[in-house]
Amino acid sequence: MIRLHRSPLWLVLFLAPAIVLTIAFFYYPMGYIVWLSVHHWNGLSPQKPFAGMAEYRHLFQEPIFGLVLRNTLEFVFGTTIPGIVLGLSLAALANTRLPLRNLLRSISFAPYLVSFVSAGLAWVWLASSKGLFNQLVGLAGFHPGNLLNQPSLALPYVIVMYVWKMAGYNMVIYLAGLQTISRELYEAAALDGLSEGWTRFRSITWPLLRETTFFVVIINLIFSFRAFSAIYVMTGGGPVHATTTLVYYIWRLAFVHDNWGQAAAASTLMLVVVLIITGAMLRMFATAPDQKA
Amino acid sequence: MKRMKTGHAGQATLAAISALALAGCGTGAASGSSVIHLTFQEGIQSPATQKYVQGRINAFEKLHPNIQISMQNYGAADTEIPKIQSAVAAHNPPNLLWIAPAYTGQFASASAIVPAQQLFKSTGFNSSTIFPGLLNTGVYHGQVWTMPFDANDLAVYYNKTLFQQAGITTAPTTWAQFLADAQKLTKGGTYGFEMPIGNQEWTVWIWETLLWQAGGHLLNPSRTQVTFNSAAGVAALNYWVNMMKSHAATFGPLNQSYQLGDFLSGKVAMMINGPWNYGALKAQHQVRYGAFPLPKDKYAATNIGGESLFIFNTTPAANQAAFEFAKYVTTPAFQIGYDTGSGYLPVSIPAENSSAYQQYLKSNPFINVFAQQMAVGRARPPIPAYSQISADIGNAIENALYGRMSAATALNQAATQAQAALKANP
Repeated sequence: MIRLHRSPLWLVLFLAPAIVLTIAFFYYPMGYIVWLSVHHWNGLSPQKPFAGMAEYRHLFQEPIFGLVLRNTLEFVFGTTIPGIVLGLSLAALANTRLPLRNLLRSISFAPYLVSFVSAGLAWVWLASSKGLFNQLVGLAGFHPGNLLNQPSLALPYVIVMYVWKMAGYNMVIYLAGLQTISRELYEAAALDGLSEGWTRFRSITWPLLRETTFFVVIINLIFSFRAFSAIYVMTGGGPVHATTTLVYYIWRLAFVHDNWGQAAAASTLMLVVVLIITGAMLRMFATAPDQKA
Repeated sequence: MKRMKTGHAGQATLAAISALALAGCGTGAASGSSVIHLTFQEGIQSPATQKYVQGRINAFEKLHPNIQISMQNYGAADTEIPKIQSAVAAHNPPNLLWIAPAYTGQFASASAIVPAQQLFKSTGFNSSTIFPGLLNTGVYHGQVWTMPFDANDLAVYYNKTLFQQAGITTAPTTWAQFLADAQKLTKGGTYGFEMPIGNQEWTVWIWETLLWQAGGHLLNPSRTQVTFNSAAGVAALNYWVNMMKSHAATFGPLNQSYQLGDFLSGKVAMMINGPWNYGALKAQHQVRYGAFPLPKDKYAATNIGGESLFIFNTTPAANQAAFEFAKYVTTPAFQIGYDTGSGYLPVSIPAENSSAYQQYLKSNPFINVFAQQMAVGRARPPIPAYSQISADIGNAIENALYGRMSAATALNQAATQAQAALKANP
């Protein structure tokens, strides 16, 4: 009877729901997008004529495509790097014996629990000409007006909002990582004369958080690449495309310009870019020298 | 053997869960009864107006016991089209959709909706009770596809106190007067005019009125060529560019310049908006407000808005039932209460001419401004490529207002892209 439980039938049965759902909602749509990227489709017509690589060519010929790629990279790295630094700093603080550390943990994590739409709308009001930021800088005699109306400020402002929103998530992951580091290591280091603070962090904490950092980097990169709601709600990709990232551009190609073939080509391209960057990260973390203390 | 029995039970449970999960992915099954259930998606913003419509739906269901209508609010109209496109692609559209008739061609060309005109004769509907201009907003390839539900247009809201303080006693009627008054009103942190900004439809919808006022057109008469980059188009865009350069205007919230915040706070003295905010304006006590017609250049013109009912093609019985409701909406019994409660304008001639509505206009001069302007109203062409053309014009407006390009260059670039869209979706 024990053998029956180990039979392939059981394996297939237990795995079937997950396999079916993964194929139906992950691999099939992904394959369909790649297929669609070599066809013309307006989103409603029953006809989808073959287009070869035309949609890819048109994509690279779009006047704003270069700007979209630049915005995307600025957004992805502008959110990932500060998000990780802030998350790790908060985690380090929350891991101490501070009297209000539970409050700090709750306050830091709370923004992550709010939906991007609600948080985005709140930050739109904060950015308005009568909003908090204008009131604050107004005290110093500056009146920049609505921050989101200014092409040079809109993307940095959305990035700040995104970092604020995601820092709590990074903090929780790092906090879990920090709590796996044995205190004995720090005690041994102290006996060996290693001073507290930065040296201890650089020699013990940071190397032992390597796997956690790898996870946080990959997750943040993926989240940032596909960030849509915040931009949709806060700026609609404007002003003058200053906040149009690749994923927002894909949405606009499909739903505003009814050009689903080109949107699928851009999606396929995004898939490739994410795969390359994730692969590079994987390689970087896998080949990094072992720095264990 | 006990383990074996547990194993069978486990397999059966797994199979049942899988079956349930798969069943959950499907659409709802037909009820099998003779009652026809219709879904009606709308984006009515005012809770009071929604309540009125729900009350009328209840009355309609009493008149037609075999039809039940479920009303679903979709939020902002600008975001509804993508949702509907997805629903159509998934073969799961609503039966009735309340949205701007400018999208008629997009859904008609894909045969996603039913041409309302095909049901006029069989149901004894007298289409001459509808204002012809409004009926035309739903015409695609010579046939009426969508049924007018309500109407509106654009005029200028103004702050009476700020006008008084600036010594302006009569409303400006020309572009030159409007600019001069906006400059007079600009002082002490207040701007004369709130400039709509963003590349979405709200900005474009307003700019089209300037294009028409300057004597321009979006398309040629046969709708095969975009013409908004004409000299009139450049003049219309330059008028806004100059207004920004003269600092008589400030940008409204990005892509949300329909919001009243800056007007109610006194930051701007004038803004272009529609009659649907009448309830909100009456309820506030911050600003003494009024409305006047859009100033003219060569011509007077406003943009006719409002919503129509789109009947999505499902089953013949559901299509017929949906048309019955669309017919009911055009009756004075529905229109008078709807319009006097919401600030929208009637689509039905008998409703407009009724003594009840005429009395309402006399006692509400704010709404009367919008009603009078309908005489110079024009509508966006209900062609499949409209949303793409609008997006291209939106980009041109942004590029010019932010000084990235001259008005002429921005409009020419937009025209090239819009022409390609028009060619791809004639």
